Amino acid sequence: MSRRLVALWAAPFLLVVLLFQALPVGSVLVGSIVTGGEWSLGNYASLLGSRFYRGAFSTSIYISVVTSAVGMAVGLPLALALHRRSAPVQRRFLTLFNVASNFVGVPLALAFTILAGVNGVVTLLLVRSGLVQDFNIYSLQGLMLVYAYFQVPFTVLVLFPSLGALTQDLSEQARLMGASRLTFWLKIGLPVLAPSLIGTFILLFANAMGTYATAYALIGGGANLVTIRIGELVAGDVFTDPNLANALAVLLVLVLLAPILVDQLLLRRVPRG
Amino acid sequence: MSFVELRGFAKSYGPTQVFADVDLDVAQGSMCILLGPSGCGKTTLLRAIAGLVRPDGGRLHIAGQDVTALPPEARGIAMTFQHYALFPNMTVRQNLAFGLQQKRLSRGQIQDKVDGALSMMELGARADARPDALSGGQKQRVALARALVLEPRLLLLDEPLSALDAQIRKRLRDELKRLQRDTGFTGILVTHDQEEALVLGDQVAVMSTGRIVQAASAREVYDRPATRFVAGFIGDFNLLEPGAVAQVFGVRTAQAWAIHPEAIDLREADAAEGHGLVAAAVVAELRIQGPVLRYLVLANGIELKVDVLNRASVPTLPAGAAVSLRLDPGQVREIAD
Amino acid sequence: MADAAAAAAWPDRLLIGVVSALLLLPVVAVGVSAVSTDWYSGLAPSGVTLHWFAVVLSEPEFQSALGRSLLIAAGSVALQLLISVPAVLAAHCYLPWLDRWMERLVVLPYALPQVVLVVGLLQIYAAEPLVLIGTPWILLLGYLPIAFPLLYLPLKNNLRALPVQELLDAGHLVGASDLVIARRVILPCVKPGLLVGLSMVFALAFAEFVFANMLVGGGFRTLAVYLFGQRQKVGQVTAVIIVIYFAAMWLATIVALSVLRGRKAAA
Repeated sequence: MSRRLVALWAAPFLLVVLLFQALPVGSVLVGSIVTGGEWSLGNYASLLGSRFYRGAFSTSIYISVVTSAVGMAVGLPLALALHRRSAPVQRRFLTLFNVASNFVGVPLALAFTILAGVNGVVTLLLVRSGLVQDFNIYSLQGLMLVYAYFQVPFTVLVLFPSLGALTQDLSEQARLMGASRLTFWLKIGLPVLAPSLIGTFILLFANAMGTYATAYALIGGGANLVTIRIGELVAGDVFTDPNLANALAVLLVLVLLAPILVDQLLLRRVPRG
Repeated sequence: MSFVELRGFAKSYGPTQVFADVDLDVAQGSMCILLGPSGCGKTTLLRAIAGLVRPDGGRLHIAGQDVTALPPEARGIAMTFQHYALFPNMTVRQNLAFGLQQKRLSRGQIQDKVDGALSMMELGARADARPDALSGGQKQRVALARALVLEPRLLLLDEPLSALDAQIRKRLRDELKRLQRDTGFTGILVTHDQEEALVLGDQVAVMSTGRIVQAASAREVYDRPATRFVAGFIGDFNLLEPGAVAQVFGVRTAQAWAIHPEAIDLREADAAEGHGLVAAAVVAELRIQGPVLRYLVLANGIELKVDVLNRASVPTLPAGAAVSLRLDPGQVREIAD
Repeated sequence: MADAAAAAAWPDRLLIGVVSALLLLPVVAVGVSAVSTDWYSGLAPSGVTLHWFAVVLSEPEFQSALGRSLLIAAGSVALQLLISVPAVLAAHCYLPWLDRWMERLVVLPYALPQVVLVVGLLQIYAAEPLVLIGTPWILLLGYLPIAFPLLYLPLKNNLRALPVQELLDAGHLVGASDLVIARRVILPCVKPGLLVGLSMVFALAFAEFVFANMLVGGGFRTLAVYLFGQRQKVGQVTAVIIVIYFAAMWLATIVALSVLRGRKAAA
């Protein structure tokens, strides 16, 4: 079979990717440097000059960093614990975590409304036990709780395969050589896992930063998140400005892309040996 | 009391017995081989000696000290793992230094010892490489250097050569032998390879289903297998039941005979008969195995393996050639069980 | 090893158990709420009923939304089979440059949130020459690139384990064309990965909300958009919709997988 014919097999796929991924991204890029029909960086200037949009970025980044940290803090010990269990147990719980990390968006937001809304059973329990005066799921804290719900299982799923690098004979070898558990983790365990931990954190951050549906369904336009603002600028009821949306989208992608690129270009390319 | 003395070691996981009634004595400066098929419990026994597995019963003394209750790190033992267990985030040099650092030696002492170990194993050129840049043979040499640099009282080696390909395996085997001779370390090595066991072992302990069935010098184990299992596992014996012995050599015996293929003389049928047991046979097949010629012959319907040194002066006999076999009765091992 | 594991087992079990229980909590809450007569005043519902299922299921708008979502999901699976699978195979066997490119495409969903694509798609497909906004076509075609990594990763895993070049050579020697080898040998060998990938594509297309709401909305109301519209209703109604939503997703996935499995087995 000739190579031209083979390329034909891939042509429809390339066409769809071009039309529905590359083209829209190009359109966003180009549109972001157009203001009132003229080339300009005005969109970026007005975004960066706006307290409101700067606030959206700081809120989004804050939520993403905190929930990623929570995801790591719970997910890493959880993945390690699971790593020490037998293969059938691992399969069972990985399936559960897979389902949980896919339970996102509108259903998740509404499930939390039922569970922890104004009349939710968790809210009632917390308030009656006197642990909290008032619990509001429709707040930034509530939103972070919901994000944590998918960040923790997501951490386990991403991190789990890389734990294979940390074999049992490594820790046994270290122990035979007189290293304490702490020394093992500081000198061997964490350094070995470091690239995966960094990579996982970046994915968690992007996962939270790009979330739209969950936040929109839970709080609606009230949440000052970058994704919500973008949605509002293109499809809002009150006020739309597609070119401002373009610039906001480009800034969001830059925030997401920067750590991925730094990770891939700098950290992974370090020559080994 | 011998340098390493193991008495009554036993271990079970629930109803599954891994090993039981294990006694073992290893002299200082000697290499003891634990030889057995996979699943015979030899690796778990090694791990129990290291202290990584807690035995259900038994005592272990090293250099007169009872170490049974001591944790692994307090036993003065070093171990190499089948897949090397090199710390992937550290260079070769850092791997070697790690154990010495845990002993809180001075920087200068560590440097000297590491340099010594590196040059002993001819690893100087790769000192700053990371494990994933090393070949399999290099990895194993690093693992050995890392163990030896700690100057352990006892070195445990878990299948050190099994993950290597044939060529490198032989070279590293000889290197290990030289190393043991030069440094005089006391070692226990686990393997399932009988040739490796015979070459490396001052003492070979053959294990079967969790028990040591024979522990003796390499020569002794090869020449005088204690049981049918040892005969089958160690050498390439002809194992003849009493009925077959009668058929081939016309001798009545109560016990089975184990005969090494090289113990049988094979001559052309018209050659003058010598002393000993004699049988007529026909060549069924010839295999050229390099240093030896392996004949499969049929003697009165019984197939026997016969090895002849492959010298240029020895003519090869074609299949169907009539031959006579001669056997010195002193070469026959009677197998009790 | 087992000794150490047994000694250290209980903290591990505790951690896994507690986190799993917390993860199951919203799921349980939805399930309980869906069959509750009333769950406002107390910690437990006052009675059990199937009333809410009857209410939701008899709603015509719900029925058609469910149908639309199933249609989009099935259509997405078909498109991936027709368009992406041949491309992955061609790239793996003959086009290394495309293969490397696809590998990089996999992180794209994380760098490129859907809401960003929405902005671009709205600008291009809302006007002539190609008006797709407001029609189901924008969903079918728009989901293809964003669902692609879900198909690619498990499929590629299976392909890597297969000596594809040798299989092609062996097939050519007996006179089989690439198409025949792909259909009769390679696809059956990578079926496990393919099925996993396609079922994830199905689930994504069935449940997707951002595109469905912002690019199409009322023009072709999918189940996720319908559910969003019902969020102000009593908890039991949304709970029932969520239950049916997941039940339909899993059921359809199982049916789709068994159909594919059966057809491949018969072929």
